[in-house]
Parts: sequence; C-alpha cells; structure tokens
Amino acid sequence: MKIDLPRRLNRDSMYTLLQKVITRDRNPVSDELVLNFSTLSKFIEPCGVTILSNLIHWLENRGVTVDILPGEVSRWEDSPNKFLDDSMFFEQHLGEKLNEYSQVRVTTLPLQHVNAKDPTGWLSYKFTPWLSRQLGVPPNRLATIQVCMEEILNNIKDHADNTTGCVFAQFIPGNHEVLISISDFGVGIPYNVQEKHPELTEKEAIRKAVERGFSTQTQPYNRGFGLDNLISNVVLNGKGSVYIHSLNGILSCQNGNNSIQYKTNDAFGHYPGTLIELAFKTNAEDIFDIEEEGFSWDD
Amino acid sequence: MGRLVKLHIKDYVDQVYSNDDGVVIYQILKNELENSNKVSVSFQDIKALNSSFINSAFVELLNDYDFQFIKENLSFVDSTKAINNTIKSRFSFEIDERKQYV
Repeated sequence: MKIDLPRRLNRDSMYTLLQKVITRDRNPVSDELVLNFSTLSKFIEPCGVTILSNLIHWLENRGVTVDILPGEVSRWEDSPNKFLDDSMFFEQHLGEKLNEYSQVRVTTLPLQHVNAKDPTGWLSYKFTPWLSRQLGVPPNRLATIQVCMEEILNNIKDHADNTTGCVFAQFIPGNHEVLISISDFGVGIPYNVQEKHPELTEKEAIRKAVERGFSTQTQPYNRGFGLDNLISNVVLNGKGSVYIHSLNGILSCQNGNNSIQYKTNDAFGHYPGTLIELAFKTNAEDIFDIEEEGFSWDD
Repeated sequence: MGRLVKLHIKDYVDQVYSNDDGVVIYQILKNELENSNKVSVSFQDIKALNSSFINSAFVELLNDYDFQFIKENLSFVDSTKAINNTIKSRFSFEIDERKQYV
C-alpha cells in the first residue's frame, strides 16, 4: 500500500498521515507500506523528523515492511527532503544519504536513538556540547536544560514499555530559540494514567500526568514531579512552550503572564506512543542560571 | 555523641540520573543518621538535579524521620539556586501532602 506524505509536516498535519497508516483500532493498515516522500514538498518542521522516525519504528516493531520512496533532494535548504537528508534521516532508514553532499547542518543535532536507561553519556558528550557550541555558553550553564532532558528520559524509562527515545534538536538563531523533540513508541501517557483513572479521556489523562504530585506509581520511588519540573523550567524559566502528543490526546503548555497556561485538545488521529516538543528562548536568563547559593531550610 | 560527616555526592555515584543513583545516596545518609551523625551533603561539580534523584536520595528520608529531625541533621553545601529550589520545593510539597493524611 502506497501512502503519500502530506505536503507540509508538523505536529498538526501529522494526523493526516497517521490516519492513513493506523486503523481506528490502533493497528497498522497493512503488512507492507510504501511511504512516498515525494509528496512532502512544502515544508517540514524539526519535530517532523522525530515523528517520521518514530512512526517507522512503530510500524516495523509490529512486523510491517516499510519501504521509503524518497523525494527529490533539491539544493535549496528549505526543501523538506533536503532537510531530512541533512538530518541523516535517510541514512538511518535507507542505509545511505540521498545526496552524497548532504551534511548535518551546524544548527542541527541529528536524529539520535537514545537509551533512556542510561543516557548520561549521550547527554554529557553529545547533547550538551552541541548546545554549548550553538549558544556559546559553557556546558555547566546548561545544567537545567540537561535536567529537563533527564526528566523526559526518566519518564520514558519508567513508564513506556520501550526504553528508546528518538531525539532531534534544532537551533533557530533568528528566533533565539531551540526546539527539541523527543518521541517514544511506548504505551503512551494516557494508557498508564487511565489504569488508575479510567474515567478520564486521553487528553484529560495527559493533563493529569503533568499535575504536580500525581504518579501512576509504575515505579516505587516515583512521586509525580518530573513532568511538572520539566514544564516549569521550560515554560517559566525558559520563556518557552511544551507540547505533548500521546495517543488521541494533546496538551500544550505555554507562557502567559509569567504563569503556565495549559490547554488540552482531542487529536484527529492516533499518535503511537508519546511525542514531546519543547522550545525555549536562548535569551531567557533563568534557565541558564547556575548561581551558587548557600542552602538554608528556612528561606 | 555523633559527628558531622561531609558526603561528596560524586564520591559515591558516577551520575545523578536515576532513582537507583539516588538510592545509593539515601542508604549512606540513612546509615549515618542511624549512627547519630549529622550529614553535610556536597554538590560539588553538580549544578542541577532532576526530581527522580532528589526523591530517592532525600525525600525518601521522610519515611524514616520527621521533617524537623531532617532539618536539624541534614544540610547541603556547594549548592546552586536551582538545586536548592528543587529540594525545598519537593520537601515542601511532600510535607503538605502528608499533613492532609494526618
């Protein structure tokens, strides 16, 4: 079965693709799929790289043979297939780049599959040095951003049935912004929450999951603080946003009057697993604050 | 009469990522507190900590001791604003939660 990708691919338009590939009862539509990338002609947002990679892994994990029909790689940097080739997407999924001259852009941290059980080496030797070079700040000032990544990866480790996180990051200098998308193709956040609260819809379950102090207690030491810590740091300290797409639910967390504005939506399709996209401003000061401070219990 | 023990986190764990890393520190702390020692925890070379580590290393002590005892016998040095805020926020939330069930 041949599946045409949408002309534009981002968090919203991905559901058009997902509806074509995943049935209502959440199974692949066919045992053999050809993904036609030539129809992806207008643009792809950075999170699209993660979405496509996650989808292919989800399908293959369910025994589907996935063939990729690549599009033309033009020399224009804003061509979606060129962006994917520069991001090493085709190298990872086809075994080679479409164009031998394609190379990872300086502002891109290419697609990586990170083992959430032990990501410290990747964080210390790949992610943080890359971000440090992009922003021109010493690695130790990126400690809070590294903690945000740890919160997501700990969440995958503790709650997903698959402990690999697919990560892609893009620095956008003109917007003073860094976009990071992380996806897993595990059971999805609503699945675990609904075990405890079956009355909640999937979007309500995601909102519940980020509530401070709410834990599904999948692991004995979990206390429901990780996603709240992530969102507080990114949205308040980083003047940014966090979007969570999981199964049929969407949660957006944005900064409004220096507080977190939560908004939930029903998705028009089924995202297999969880996609988290976070964005923070590189000119926000608090997220880079590592000021030393004496500790007192009574402050 | 107990003594003051200084505990450098990085002397005991290579990373401060998971609950398992935190449990290593928790067990050392519990052992020292049981021996009537006060503990000063040093975060040298660490600038921020995630919630899983803080939960299992420090907040877990609330299952063994009351908060007043912890405040009198556990202190932190070589710390940052980010670490201090997370520790205090975690303890504050946990204390409030427990009050609801008293």
